[in-house]
Amino acid sequence: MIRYYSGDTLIHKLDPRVKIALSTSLFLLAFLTRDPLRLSFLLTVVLMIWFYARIPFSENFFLKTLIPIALFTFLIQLLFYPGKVILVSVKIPSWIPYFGGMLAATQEGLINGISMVLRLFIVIMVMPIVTMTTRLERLLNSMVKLGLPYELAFTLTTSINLLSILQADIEDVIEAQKIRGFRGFDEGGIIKKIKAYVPIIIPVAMEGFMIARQMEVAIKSRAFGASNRRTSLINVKMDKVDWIVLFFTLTGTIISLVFFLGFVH
Amino acid sequence: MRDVVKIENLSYFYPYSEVAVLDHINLSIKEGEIVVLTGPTGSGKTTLCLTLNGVIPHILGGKLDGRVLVDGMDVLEHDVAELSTKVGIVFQSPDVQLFSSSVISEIAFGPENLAIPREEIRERVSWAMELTGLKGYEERSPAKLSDGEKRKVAIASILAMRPKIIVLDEPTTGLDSIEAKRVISLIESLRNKYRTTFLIVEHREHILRLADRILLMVDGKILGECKPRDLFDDEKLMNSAYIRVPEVVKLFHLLRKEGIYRGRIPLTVEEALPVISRVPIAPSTVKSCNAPKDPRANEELIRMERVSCGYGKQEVIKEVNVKINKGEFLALVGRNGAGKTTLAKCMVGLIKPSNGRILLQGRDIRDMNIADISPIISYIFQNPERQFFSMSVEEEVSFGPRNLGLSEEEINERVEESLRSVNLIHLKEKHPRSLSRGQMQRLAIAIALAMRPQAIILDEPMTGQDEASLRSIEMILRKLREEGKTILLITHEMGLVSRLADRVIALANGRIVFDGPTRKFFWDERAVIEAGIGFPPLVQLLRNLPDPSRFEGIVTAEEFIEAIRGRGK
Repeated sequence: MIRYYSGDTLIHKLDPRVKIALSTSLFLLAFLTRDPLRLSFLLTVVLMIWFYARIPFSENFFLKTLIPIALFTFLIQLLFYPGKVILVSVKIPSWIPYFGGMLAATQEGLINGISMVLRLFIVIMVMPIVTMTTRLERLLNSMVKLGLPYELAFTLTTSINLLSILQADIEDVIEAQKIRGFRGFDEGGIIKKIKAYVPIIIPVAMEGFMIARQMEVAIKSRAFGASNRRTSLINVKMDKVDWIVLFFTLTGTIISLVFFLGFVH
Repeated sequence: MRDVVKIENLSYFYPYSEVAVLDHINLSIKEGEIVVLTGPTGSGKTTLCLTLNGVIPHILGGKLDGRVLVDGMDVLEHDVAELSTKVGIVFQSPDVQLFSSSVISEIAFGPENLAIPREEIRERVSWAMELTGLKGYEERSPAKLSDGEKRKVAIASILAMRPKIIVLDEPTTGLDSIEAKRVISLIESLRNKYRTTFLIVEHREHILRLADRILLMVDGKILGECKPRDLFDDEKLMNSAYIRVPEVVKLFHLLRKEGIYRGRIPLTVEEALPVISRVPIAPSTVKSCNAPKDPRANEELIRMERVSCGYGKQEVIKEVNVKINKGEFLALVGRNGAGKTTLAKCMVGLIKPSNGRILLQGRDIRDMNIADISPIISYIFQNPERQFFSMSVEEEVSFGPRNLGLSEEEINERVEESLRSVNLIHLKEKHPRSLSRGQMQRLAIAIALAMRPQAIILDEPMTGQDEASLRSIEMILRKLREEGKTILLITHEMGLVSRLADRVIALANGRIVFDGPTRKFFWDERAVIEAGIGFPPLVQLLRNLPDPSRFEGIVTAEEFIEAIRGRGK
């Protein structure tokens, strides 16, 4: 969910700072309201951006991770949110610990459940609007312009890089085990599958440590930290388009704020 | 000429170690010189290189005695960033030195750190890309390039810093012959145009030949130095310096022993041509040595029918038809990125074909699990060291047999047997990742053998190995061949192919451009050119003699001698 996918849309070309402003606004607004209607509106905006920028939809992630979590969240809210208007209720024998007594789905729980799920989707889908449409270097450059020290910004982006190397390493070890007749990754229950990953972690972590060390040597050998001034080949600049988008983002946010905070009904 | 590198009485100990990795080294390098450092793995060559830009001792610590002067600067008194404008190091593994998300920002990284004006950075970047042939790669992600391309990016990223001295650690490892030639001509042109000084760690002949001086390093000491010409003239010296004797050089040494030739040993095909034409060879009586080993009983093991496969939507292998019989020794050759590894992974089920079908002993592999394939074909990955995960050698080897559900007794027997056959039994308690590169490759072979498979696929087992390991791996391969194992060898080492393989499959852009006997391949001009591997020097030499067809099929120096011995028979 952080990998860059090249593209040629307005979103790709925007100054990363504008994108950060846009997604931060959406993120904050999602926490300022509980109203399902308003949240649906925000989610629609997010989805429209996704659709427009052709951000690739990882089915695996959505189906296997996000939707189960969303369902779980929804159920918890539905059943345990303290509400008054009861929709359905089930009597549970009192000898069962924790659940004993009455289990009821309330209207408030339903609404809250829907809100939480909508919010979850917004929060998860807002970050890729920046990360999946922006080259790492441009992001780095704009973070530095926003005041983050270069060393820190560089370390962050390099760690992301290192993570992808380690991920490739894990895949290699899994392949190596599969071709030696190991079936643990494909067969058996979830516990068995998780168990199969455990022995891989130590060697990969060791490898990661070694790669990090070698990378440090390579990075310092290329004059990293040579001077306090540092030129950047990539220089993100605010264009006319950037200012326009930023203007709309800010006015949109202010208008939504007015609505969301209930000054206008 | 002045010395740009001056090392005086240098000794070095890694942190917490009592062993001197570098032991009283004295060395001067003049401006514009190309010095090649050679010697077995673990002799301290890379360590020596790392002292030049201060990575040792500033980053890696340890104890350093003596003095290292680079362009007049004492390494101990300047930090790595300052020294980086004098010395640029291209490390052995391309992956650890590429950390940017585009080629252009990778190359710009050094000059950016040096706070060079933006306009000049732009110029330097495009200059470096021009020289390394990377034009058009600007926005590509380094992580997704081929090994050869990665190496070029690594070199370009150093060039852009305009160092006086460039250190290259095994710059042609894993490159096909065309890519390797590019690196070589780049080194030559930089030296000639910009008087760049080079220190190169290498043991392969095409780099050794470039050297003004060759230094032999063993156990942290520089044992001696010589000119390439003297090295190649002296068989004993080559052997003791762990250097492979190039085929053309070997030919002339053999001719010398036969008493047919008495002069200096030529180093290149160009030099050899006028010399060999004076060697008396009866033209019409060359004995044919075409005697291909016949595959055992023609029993079919693998059959691929119009197989296409790749990653995602990208098709790497296109409509390939292959049939492999039991007992065959095949070489799979082709340029970097031709699809060799993809084809191999397809055979063992790691990549599913998008089209066509693959039959293993008559069974369609679509109906098989990877685990079902594993006792039939063992695949040994390129860089197997990254895939070890056990705490001991013994445990690592027993992993496969254990998955087959064998009895403890049988597992132990197989572990013992396979470790013995690669000569690693004495190290069975060791941690796999603590082994040397050569031992790791042998361990990988033992792991494959323990599955007792019908066929073994080896993916570039010779990459990054020193000469001593190369010899021992070749010996193991020879033994397996004699035992009648079916072997598919992926390699760039054409010498190895000509010595071992009965049959060659050449890939170019995912298609088979040749499939037939090895001898025929190296003499098939169209196939060799299409595969982009370049003629082996010996064949190139023989092809340039008058009436070359009489030598057809000869691929090694020994065979040539054999053939001319057959004179008058």
